[in-house]
Amino acid sequence: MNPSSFGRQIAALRRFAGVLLRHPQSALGTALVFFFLFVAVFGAQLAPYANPNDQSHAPRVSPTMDIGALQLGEHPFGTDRLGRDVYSRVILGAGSIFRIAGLGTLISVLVGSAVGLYMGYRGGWFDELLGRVIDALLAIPALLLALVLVGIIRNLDFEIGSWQAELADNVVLLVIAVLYVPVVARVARSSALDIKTREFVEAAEIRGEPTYYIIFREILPSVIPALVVEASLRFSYAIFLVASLGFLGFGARPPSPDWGLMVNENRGGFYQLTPWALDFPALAIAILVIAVNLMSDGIRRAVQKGN
Amino acid sequence: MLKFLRRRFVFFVFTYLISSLMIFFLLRVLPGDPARVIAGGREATVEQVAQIRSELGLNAPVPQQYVNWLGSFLRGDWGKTIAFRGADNRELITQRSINSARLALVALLLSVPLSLVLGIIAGLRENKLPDVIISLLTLSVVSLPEFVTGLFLINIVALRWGRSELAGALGWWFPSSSAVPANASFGEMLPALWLPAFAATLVLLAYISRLTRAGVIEELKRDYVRTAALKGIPYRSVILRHVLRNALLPTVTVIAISITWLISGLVVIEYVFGFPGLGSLLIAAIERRDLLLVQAIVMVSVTVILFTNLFADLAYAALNPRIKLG
Repeated sequence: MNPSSFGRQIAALRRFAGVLLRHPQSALGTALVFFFLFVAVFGAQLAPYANPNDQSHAPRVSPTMDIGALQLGEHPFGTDRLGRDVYSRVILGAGSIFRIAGLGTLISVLVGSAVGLYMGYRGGWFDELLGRVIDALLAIPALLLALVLVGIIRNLDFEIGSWQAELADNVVLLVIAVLYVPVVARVARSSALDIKTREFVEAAEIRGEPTYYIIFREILPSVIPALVVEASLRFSYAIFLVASLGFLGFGARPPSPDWGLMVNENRGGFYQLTPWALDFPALAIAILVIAVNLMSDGIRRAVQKGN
Repeated sequence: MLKFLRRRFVFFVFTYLISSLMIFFLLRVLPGDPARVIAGGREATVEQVAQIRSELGLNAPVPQQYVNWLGSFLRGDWGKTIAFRGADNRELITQRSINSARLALVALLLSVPLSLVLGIIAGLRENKLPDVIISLLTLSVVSLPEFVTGLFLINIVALRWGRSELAGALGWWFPSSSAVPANASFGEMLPALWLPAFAATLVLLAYISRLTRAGVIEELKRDYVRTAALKGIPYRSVILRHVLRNALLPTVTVIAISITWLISGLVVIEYVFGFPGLGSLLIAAIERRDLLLVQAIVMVSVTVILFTNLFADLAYAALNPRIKLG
C-alpha cells in the first residue's frame, strides 16, 4: 500500500467519523456502544465480585446505590434470591453478548460478502439459482429458524470435549453466522452488479486478471461502504436476537450471567421478591439495543453522505 | 398482467419447495437419529427406536421420505404429537393458530391506523419538533426486544396499576392475567388479549410509521405537488387528495411485511404473556423435542408468510394504475 492512498484512507475515515459524531443521536449511541464494549472487555476487572455465581451474599438485598451521593455501596444493583450480586452479574454478562453477536456478525459478513460478490460478478444461471434460493431462505423468519436450529443442535449427544461439543457450546454464535450469510450475500450481490459494469473492472478483465483479483481488488473496495452499513445493521439485529434467545431459554444456560437469561429467571412471581434482579439486566439490554441502533443509523447516514 | 401472475406464481411454488426442503432436511437429516430423539434420547431401547423408525417411514430413501412428508403435509395429515399426550397435530395447530390470529388481528387493528397517523404527521413536519419526537420514540421502541416491552407492560401496567381501584372498576375490561384456556372463545379471550396485543402494537407502530413517514416525505418532493400548489389548490386538499393517495399505496406491502415480522414477534410475546398461541406452542414443541410438531408449525408459518406476500404483490399490482406488469 503506498503512502498517499493510506493518507487518503485516513482522511476518509476521519470524514466518516466527523459526520457520525456531529449528529447528537448517533454520537450518543456510539459513545454508549463503546462504553458497553469497555465493560465487556474489562468486565473481570470492573466487577466487584469476580465470580458471577458467588452465592455467599445475603439474598434479596435491595440496591444500595445512591445516585445523589454518587455512592455504589456493597451491592449497587442488589442481590438476587440466591444471594448473587446483580451488579457483578450484569457487568460480567456484557462479554458474552458482545462476543456472540460480534463474532457471529463478523463471520456472516466475511462469508456473505465473498458469496455475494462472486454471485454478482459471475452472474448467469449460477447467480439466478442461488439468488432464488436465498429469497426462499429469507421467507422463514430468522427467530423461528434460530429456535429450531438451537433446539436441534443442543439435543445432539456429543462426547464431552470433542470438537462437535465445542461447536455445540457456541451454537448461538454459529446460528447467527449462518442466518445472516444470505442476507449479507444479497446486499453484496446487488452492489457487485452495479460495480462490475464500471470501466476499471472491464480494464482489469482485458488485462486478463484472475477472477479472485477482480472480485477482491477491483470490486470489493467500492462495495465496502455498503457492506459497512449492512454489517452495523446485522450487528444490531444480532444483539437483539442473542438477547431474545437468551430470554427464551435457547441461549446461554444457567447459571451464566447472560442478560436475557437473567431477565427470564427473575420474572413472574420472583419479580415481586427481587424486581431489581430483572430490572437491571432488562435495562442493560434496552440501553445497549437502542445505542447500537442509533449508532448503525448514524453509520448509514455518514456513509450515504460520504458517497 | 397475466405474465406477471404466472411469474409470481412460479416463484411462489419454487420458494415453497425450497423452504419445505430446508425444514425437512434440518429436522430429519442433521446428525442424530430423529427416531431416537423422538423415542426419548439415550434411554430409549433399540426396539422402541426401530418401531418409531418404521412408523415414520424413516427406512425409505431420503428423497422419497421428503416427497411422502410434503405430500402428507399438503393433504393435512400432520401426525400425532408426542409432547401433548398424542393429540392430533393438525387440531392442536389449528386451535393455536386461531388464537394467534386473534392476537395479530387486535394488534393490527390497533397499530395500523395509529401508525399511519403518526407517520403522516412526522412526514409532513419533516425535521420539525413533532417529527423529531415521533422519530426518536419510534426508533427506541422499534429497537427494544419484545420481551422487554412485554415485561414492562406486565410489571408496570398489570402488576402495579392493575391492582388499583380504577382497574377494579373497569372489571372485565382489565386483564388481571393473560393466562386463558386455549379453547376459549374470542369474547372470553378478549380481556386477556389487550396487553399482549399492545406489546405487539408498540413494535408494529414504530415499524409502519417509519415507512409511512418515508413515503410521505418522498411524495412531497415530487413535481406534481408543486404544480398543484402553484395552481392554487388549498394545502389541505393537495395533501389529502394527491400526496396521501400516492404515499399510502406501498402501505399494502408494508402491512404484509409486518405480518412476517409479527409471526416471529408473536413467538416472544406469547411466551412472555403465557398466551396459548402458535408461538408458545413452537417453543414447547422444541423444548420437548417433538420433531413432527415443530416441522408442521414452521411449515404453517411459512405458508402464511408466503401467501401474505403473494397477496400483497397482487394487491399492489391491482391497486397501482401506473404499474403495467408484464
